[in-house]
Amino acid sequence: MEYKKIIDPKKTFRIAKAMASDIQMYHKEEIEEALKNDTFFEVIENEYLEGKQLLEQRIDPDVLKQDNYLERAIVDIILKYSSNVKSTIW
Amino acid sequence: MGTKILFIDDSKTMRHAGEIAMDFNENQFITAVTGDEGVEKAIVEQPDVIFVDLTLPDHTGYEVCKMLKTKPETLKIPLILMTNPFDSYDEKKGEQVGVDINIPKPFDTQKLRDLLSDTLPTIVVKTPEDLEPTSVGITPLNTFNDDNISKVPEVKTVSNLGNESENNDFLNDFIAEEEKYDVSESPVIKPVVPSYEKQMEQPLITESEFDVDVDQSFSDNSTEISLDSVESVLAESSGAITPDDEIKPFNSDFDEMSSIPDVSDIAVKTATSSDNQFSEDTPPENALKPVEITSVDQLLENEFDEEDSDDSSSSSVEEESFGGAVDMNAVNDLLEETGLLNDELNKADDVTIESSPETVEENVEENVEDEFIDSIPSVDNLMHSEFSNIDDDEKTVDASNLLTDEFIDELENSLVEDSLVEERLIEETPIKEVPEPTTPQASINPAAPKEEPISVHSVDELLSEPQPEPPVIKEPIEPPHTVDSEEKITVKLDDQQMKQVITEIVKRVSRELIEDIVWQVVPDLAESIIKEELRKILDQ
Repeated sequence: MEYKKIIDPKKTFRIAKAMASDIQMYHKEEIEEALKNDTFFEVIENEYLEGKQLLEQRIDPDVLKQDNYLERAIVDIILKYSSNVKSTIW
Repeated sequence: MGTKILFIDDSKTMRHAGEIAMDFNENQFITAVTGDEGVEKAIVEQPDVIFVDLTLPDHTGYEVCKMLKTKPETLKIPLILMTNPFDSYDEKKGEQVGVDINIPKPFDTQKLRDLLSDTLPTIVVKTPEDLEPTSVGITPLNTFNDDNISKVPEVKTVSNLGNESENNDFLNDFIAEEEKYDVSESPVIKPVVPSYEKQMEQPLITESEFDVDVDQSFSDNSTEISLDSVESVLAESSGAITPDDEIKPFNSDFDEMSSIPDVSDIAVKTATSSDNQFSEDTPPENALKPVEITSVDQLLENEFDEEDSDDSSSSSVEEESFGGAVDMNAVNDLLEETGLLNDELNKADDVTIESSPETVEENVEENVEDEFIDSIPSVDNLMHSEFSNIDDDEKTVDASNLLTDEFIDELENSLVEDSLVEERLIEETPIKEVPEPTTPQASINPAAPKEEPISVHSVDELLSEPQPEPPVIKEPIEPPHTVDSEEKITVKLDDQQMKQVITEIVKRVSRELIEDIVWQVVPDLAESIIKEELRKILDQ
C-alpha cells in the first residue's frame, strides 16, 4: 500500500527518534550488554536495518539523502540515555 | 569546504557515534584508537580540530593534550576533551594542558554539529604562551620536559612554608593583612584563620615576584625571625592584647571603650532620633546610659550587680537589657497626654463589652437552637398528630405507651375504621360497574350485606392491612345469609378470580408470543442485513 511520503526533515527526525526509542525499549538488556562489550552498533544492526526500511517507505528519498536521521536518533536517544551503564566506552 | 576532524577514542562505539554526528556534508572524519596514534595522525593529517577521549589505553586525555600542545605542528589545533559521565572534568588541569573545550560523553549530535559550525570558527586556540606561567606542567614551548621540571618555580603557599622562617615577605604580608583588622574596634579578638584561608586560596608569589624577591629574602641577614618578634609586632599593631596581658573585665575598661559604638547606643540614638528631647552630649537624668555590655553573661552579671547596689537602677538595666532605651514612665505620660492610653483603655473596655454581646449572641443562638429543636416534631408529636384524627382522647398517648398491646389493638381498630371510611366514601361515589346478571338482585335486597366493589386500595394498605378475608369462606358458615346473597357473592368472587387468572394467562401467553415472534423475526432480519452487506461488498 502506498503512503504519502513525508518531506519534512524535522518530522523525519521525529519518526526516527520514535523508532530509536522503540529499539531501546524492546532491547534494553541487549543494549546494556552491548555497551559493556563495546559492540553496540553490531548488536542493534538488525533493528537499525528494519527501521531504515520503514523510513524509506514513509519518507521522501530526497529528504532521506539529506541526513542520517536514524543513526543520529540512535546516538541521541539510545546512547545518550544509557550513560548510567557502567562501561569502558565512555 | 568541510572540517577535518581527528577523533581519538579507544571505543569503536564512540568512534562510530562521533562519525555519525560529525561526518556530514564535506567533513572529513579521521579516527585514532590510542594517544600516540592520535598524535602521529594529528601531525600528519593536520586536522582542523582534535577530539580527545579522557581515558585512552596508553595515555590520559590530559597527557595527549599536553603532547599535542608541545608539538609545533599541532599546537594551534583546537583541542576538545571528551570526559566520561563518571569522572568529572578537572578544569584546572585542563587549562594547564591547553584544553580548549570540554564536552561530556555521551554527546548530542546536534550539539557537536553546532560546535563545529558555530563555536569552532570563533575559538581562540590556547597556545603555551597563553597558559599560566606558574602553573605546573606547562612551560614555554620546547623548554618543558621531565628533566627541567624541577627548575620550574614552585608555587608558594602556606602549606609549604614549613620552617622557612626566611620568608619575611610572607610574614610582612600577613602582618599587613592583620593590620586591616583593627582589634580596638571590637572587644573580641578576631581569629586570624580567615587571613590564612585567604592566603591559601591564591599563590603568594608569582613567578616574576619570585625572581626578584626570593633572592633578597634568602639573604642571611634577614632570616631570623622569632615568634616573639611576631607577637610584639602584632601587639604594636593592635595596641591591645598580648599573651602576657590579663584580660580585664569590660566594665573596668569602660572609659577606654566608650568610643566603641554599642548596641545600646544605637538603641538610644534610634529612640531619640525621632524625638529630639535629648542630645547625646547632655543626656537628661531620665535618659538611659549607654550599656557597656556585649554578651548575655555580662548582661546577667551586670543585672545582678545593679540589683545589689540600687533597685531603681536595676529596673532601668532591665529595660535596657530588652533594648529599651525607652522610659516606660515617660511613655505612659506621653500616652496619657495624647489620650492614646485612654483610647486604648476604652478599646480594652470595648473589647470586654463587645465580648458580652457575643455571649448574648451565643445564648440567643442556643435559645434559637432549642426553639428549633422544639419546633422539630418529635416522635411523640408525630404520633400525636397522627392519631389525633382517630380520636381526641387518644391525643394523650405517649410514645412509651405506643407499643403496648392496647395500643396495637387500637391501631388495628383504627386501621379497620379507616378502611371502612374509605369504603364508605367509595360507595358514595358512583362507580360504573359492568352490568352483571347478579347485580339486579343485589339492588333488590337492601338488607343484603354490603357489596364489595373492586375498591382501589393503595399498595401500602394492601401490604399493611390484613387482607379482607374473602367472604367466600366465611359466608357459608354464617347461617343468616339468604340464598340470593350466597349466589351473588360466589359469582362475584369467581369473577375476581377469573379476572386474575385471565390476566395472568394473558400475560404469559403474550410473553410467549412475543418471544416466539422475536425468535422468528430477529434472525431473519439479521440474516437479511448480513446478506445486504455481503451484496454491497461483492458489488464493490
